[in-house]
Amino acid sequence: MNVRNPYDAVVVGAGPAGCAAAYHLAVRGRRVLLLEAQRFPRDKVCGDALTQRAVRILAAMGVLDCLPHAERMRGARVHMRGRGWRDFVYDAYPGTDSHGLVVPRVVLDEAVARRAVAVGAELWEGAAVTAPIVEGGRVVGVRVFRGGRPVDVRAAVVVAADGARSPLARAVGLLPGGELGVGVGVRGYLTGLDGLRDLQEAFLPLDDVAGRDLLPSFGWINPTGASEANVGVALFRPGYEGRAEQVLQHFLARLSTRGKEFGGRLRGEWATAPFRLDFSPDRCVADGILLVGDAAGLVNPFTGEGISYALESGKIAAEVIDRGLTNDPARPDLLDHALLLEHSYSGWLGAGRRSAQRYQFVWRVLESTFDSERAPFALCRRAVLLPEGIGELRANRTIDDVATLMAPGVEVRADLLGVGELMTSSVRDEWPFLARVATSGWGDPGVPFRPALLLLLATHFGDPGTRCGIKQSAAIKLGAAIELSALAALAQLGVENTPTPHSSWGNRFAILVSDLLMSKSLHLATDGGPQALSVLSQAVTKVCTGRIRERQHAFDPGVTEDEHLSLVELQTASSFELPCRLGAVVAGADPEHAASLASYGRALGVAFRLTEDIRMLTGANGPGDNTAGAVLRDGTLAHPVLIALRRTQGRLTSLVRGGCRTAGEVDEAVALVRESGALEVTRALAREQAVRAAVALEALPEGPPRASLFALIDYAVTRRLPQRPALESLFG
Amino acid sequence: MPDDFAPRAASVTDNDRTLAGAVRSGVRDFKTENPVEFREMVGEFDGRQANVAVIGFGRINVRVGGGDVVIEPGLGSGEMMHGAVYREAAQLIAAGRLTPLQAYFRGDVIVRAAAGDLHNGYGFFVRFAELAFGSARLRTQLDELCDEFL
Ligand SMILES: Cc1cc2nc3c(=O)[nH]c(=O)nc-3n(C[C@H](O)[C@H](O)[C@H](O)COP(=O)(O)OP(=O)(O)OC[C@H]3O[C@@H](n4cnc5c(N)ncnc54)[C@H](O)[C@@H]3O)c2cc1C
Repeated sequence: MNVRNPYDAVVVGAGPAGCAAAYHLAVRGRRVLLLEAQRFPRDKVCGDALTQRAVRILAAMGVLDCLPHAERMRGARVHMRGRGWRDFVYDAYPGTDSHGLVVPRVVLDEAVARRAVAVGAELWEGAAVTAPIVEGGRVVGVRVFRGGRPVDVRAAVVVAADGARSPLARAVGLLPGGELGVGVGVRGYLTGLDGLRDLQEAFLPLDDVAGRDLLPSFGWINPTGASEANVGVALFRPGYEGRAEQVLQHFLARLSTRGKEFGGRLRGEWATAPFRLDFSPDRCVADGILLVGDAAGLVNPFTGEGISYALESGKIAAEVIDRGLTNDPARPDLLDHALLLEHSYSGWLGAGRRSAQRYQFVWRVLESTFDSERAPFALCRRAVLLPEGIGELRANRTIDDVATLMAPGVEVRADLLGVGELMTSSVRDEWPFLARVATSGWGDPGVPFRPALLLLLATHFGDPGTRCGIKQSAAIKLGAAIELSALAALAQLGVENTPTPHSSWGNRFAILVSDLLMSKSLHLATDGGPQALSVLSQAVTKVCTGRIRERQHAFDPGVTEDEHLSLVELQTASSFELPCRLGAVVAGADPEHAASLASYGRALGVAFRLTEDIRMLTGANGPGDNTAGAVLRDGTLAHPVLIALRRTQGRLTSLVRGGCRTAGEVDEAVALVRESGALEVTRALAREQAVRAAVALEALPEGPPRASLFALIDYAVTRRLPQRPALESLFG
Repeated sequence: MPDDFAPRAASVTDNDRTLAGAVRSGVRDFKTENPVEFREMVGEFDGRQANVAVIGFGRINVRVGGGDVVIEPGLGSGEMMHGAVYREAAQLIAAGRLTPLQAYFRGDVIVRAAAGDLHNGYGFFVRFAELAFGSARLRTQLDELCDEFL
């Protein structure tokens, strides 16, 4: 038996994780040996999809240049059972590499391995590691079977990058026995396909053959060429391995009902491989060894994506090893690896794993809220399904960023960030995805209208010198309380009356989330004292009463204009009056000013809502905005529709009663409303309310805060914002 | 979610001991120079403990109880929070070229804890970090620790 000289590190497994570790060690000048049991080119059972994040990492390693032509993907199309589909398009993100790729692993892995070699790593192919070498409880190398005989390789550190089964991790006691936390995937290459898109397609969730039992699973079509695709299914529940074949067949049958394109032929064979979903930081390092990639269980339990995590964790391991070797070349300290992996992945993968294993909560949320545009669901969806997570936050239409309307000298942004932070912290435990979304620091924070009002008033009216201490923190708490109560209302709306085919989970979930957010909101409001709590609960009562009454009047063309306006007063006006009143409470404003502010808020709310009604019917939110359709189908009657009903009767009445079932009917109804001149009537009413709001402000002292309140009125009826200054200058 | 936390059991290294010694005297100085703030802080965190790491250097366990702070080298078990700072960031802070808050926003300071603790801790961090780093004695100690790092 030969005994080799020690290397700084020996990396076992030349998949993406091992190659990344070897690459990053080699570029740091470390002597690294990469061991691969097979010979390149070698295949690997995988969906072959590289998300934009993976593409970026590969680009930084210089691998992209070595790849032959690969299919570029604009993003992902996610189909949700019974709910249609959604496109998540990468060009929403800045940068030239705004795409994903589909690269068969037979090509990708060799390219990454060659890159590691190019920067100085040594690679042994056909070198299967059979056991770790352990001395005094510490891993000091591995035994390799190469060229028909065993060789011992010693190194300061061993990196286990040997995939989901990771015999090495098992041998050193880092993996528990049994198959806990394991899923399974099957894939094949279908050729002769038509109609492939430049999108990765995922289908969630799948069901068993009888179509009864929903499984924690998904299927995919990842185009590898003009007429060829990697097609497969993944199941995440341990113990379901035996059902993969059945589920695959059912999935293919379902695809073939889409059209002729799935008459393709299988090239090669269907192949199966395990998924590991049991990432746990306390099991990814021991003395002398650390785990990366699948060996560490780093796979997204919602989408099966693992390549970007494999590449990232390889890099993290290399950094830890490099630092450790600098401090102590003989016995590097590796514990930071666990800490860094934990920091990057724990909350997200941990929560996902728990829910995927039981097919609960988050999966149900995804399913039941898939067609909702509401902010909390949109955020959750994006955060869960895409590693890039929160790009959608930037385009979050529910935030009216009113920062630029604040008069010079009136600064609420810093406090608003405080509001956001507090909201996040108060829901973090129960809602890990929201926390991830809000703390990752991407995107514009946006200055939401209502808390801005409150902070503006709380910190700029009443006693001078209130910008520090108790009042300010109370204002921030109340700002968070207001937004949480608004989110609670949105959550209720999110699911509407469309239960999933399998349960009424959707509605139940909406109610639970709403209750949760509301209870957090009330909890925060208690800090503002009994008066604040009473103001908040009165407003919530009004909003809910308004919602209930609106439901009762749904699809009823006989509702009068006055009745409708009283609903608007209850629902929208009270939610704008709320921050004004709370602001006055915190600022300690005198009763006269407080009353003026309350009427300002009410009028502002009505003007805002009427303008929103007009925008909805004129498609002002831009192409693809189908709010008008959603609202008409839901039976909610906007102000211009009521005016038009009074003026036209006939066809519009029957369309409204019938809930405009088709897109054509929606267009027809909208056209009838526009032709009737109703939009002008509503517009005039909105302006009247704006004047009312302005009159209420007359009672307040002049100055920048009042000027800002005036600017908000203008915004409520025009929705025009002055050009925004650059972000840096705002935070500078 | 206990399995979401990094491993506790590990041998104690010399660096851990150096770090613990430096932090101990830092805490002592903070206590001497800012007794009111110190009391407020230990009152707030009474009964809590955390593992804190300087990435690439060492780890300590910090426990608060009985009106004082106990610092041990190496990782403790069952901690409620944990935090870490990159060694480079710690050096920049010590050299006065980066404020602790800037480091936090750059992601060079990592903190994991339950929601309430996290925000509570963050509040204290914001309030006291500049105070602590403004202390001449602490600066000297940090310089010494810096020498240790290099
Ligand atoms: C069906 C399926 C579909 C998937 N689809 C996608 C997808 O579309 N996109 C995505 O991002 N992720 C996908 N994944 C996950 C992805 O494949 C993994 O996360 C990724 O391969 C992990 O990389 P790795 O380097 O950790 O391990 P691997 O890629 O598994 O590499 C491990 C390497 O170690 C070698 N090895 C094993 N044992 C030894 C030994 N004893 N000695 C020497 N060498 C050894 C193996 O030969 C192999 O080369 C999919 C997984 C499955 C199962």
